[in-house]
Amino acid sequence: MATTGNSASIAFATSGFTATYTRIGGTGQEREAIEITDLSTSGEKTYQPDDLIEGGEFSLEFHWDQSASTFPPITAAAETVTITYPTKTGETTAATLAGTAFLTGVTGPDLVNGEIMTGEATVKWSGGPTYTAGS
Amino acid sequence: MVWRADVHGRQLIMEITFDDHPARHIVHGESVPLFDDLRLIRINGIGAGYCGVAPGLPVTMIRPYPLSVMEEVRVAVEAYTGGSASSLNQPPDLGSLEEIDYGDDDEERDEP
Repeated sequence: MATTGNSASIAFATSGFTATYTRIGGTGQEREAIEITDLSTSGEKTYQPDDLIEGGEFSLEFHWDQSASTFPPITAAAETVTITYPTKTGETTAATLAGTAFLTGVTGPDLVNGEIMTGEATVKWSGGPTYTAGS
Repeated sequence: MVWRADVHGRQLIMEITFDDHPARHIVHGESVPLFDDLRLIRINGIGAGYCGVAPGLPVTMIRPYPLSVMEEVRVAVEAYTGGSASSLNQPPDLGSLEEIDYGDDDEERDEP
């Protein structure tokens, strides 16, 4: 059965930053396509995959708590970051996406009437994250 | 280990346990923990947060808990690691912000 993202969470192991998250964005990973077309190629250009992939980044949206003393760790060193997926029925351990990561951007809240203050952050995996299925 | 916390006037019996960090990778054909320096904190079997295996790293919970539960987590982590965590962190319980007493300014006042 398909599940929603409800109850997913993220933990920063060293800075200890926590928030009430409204969105944990998906990680986008990419790799280049290296063109290997030569003079004998006919029809379409040909490509091979690059040796390395881009580990990717993801975004966070969270309620901005002005009482919190721990701010998004934009100046922190890379640290272990664990995204915990919702626990599926029958699982005792939720799936995780974890790796070493650091913040590359933080945006504070817009202060306006009638809107909940929210912050945004961009988190860059310093290598490739590891996905571990729930069990 | 079983811990007890007073939550909203009720004695709550909790089992706080520590497991390997759930992230795993394959080394020499064997699935092993990806992070040796972190542990998953479980409260009554449910994943509740993360801590270091040694003192000096923060405890980071993945959802808010009552202060009395957090105190038991602090004690349990200290017993497990043999020292204090650098900080105890959990997401703010924004529901409680609605209960803040803003003082007399919120009360209706009679016009002079």
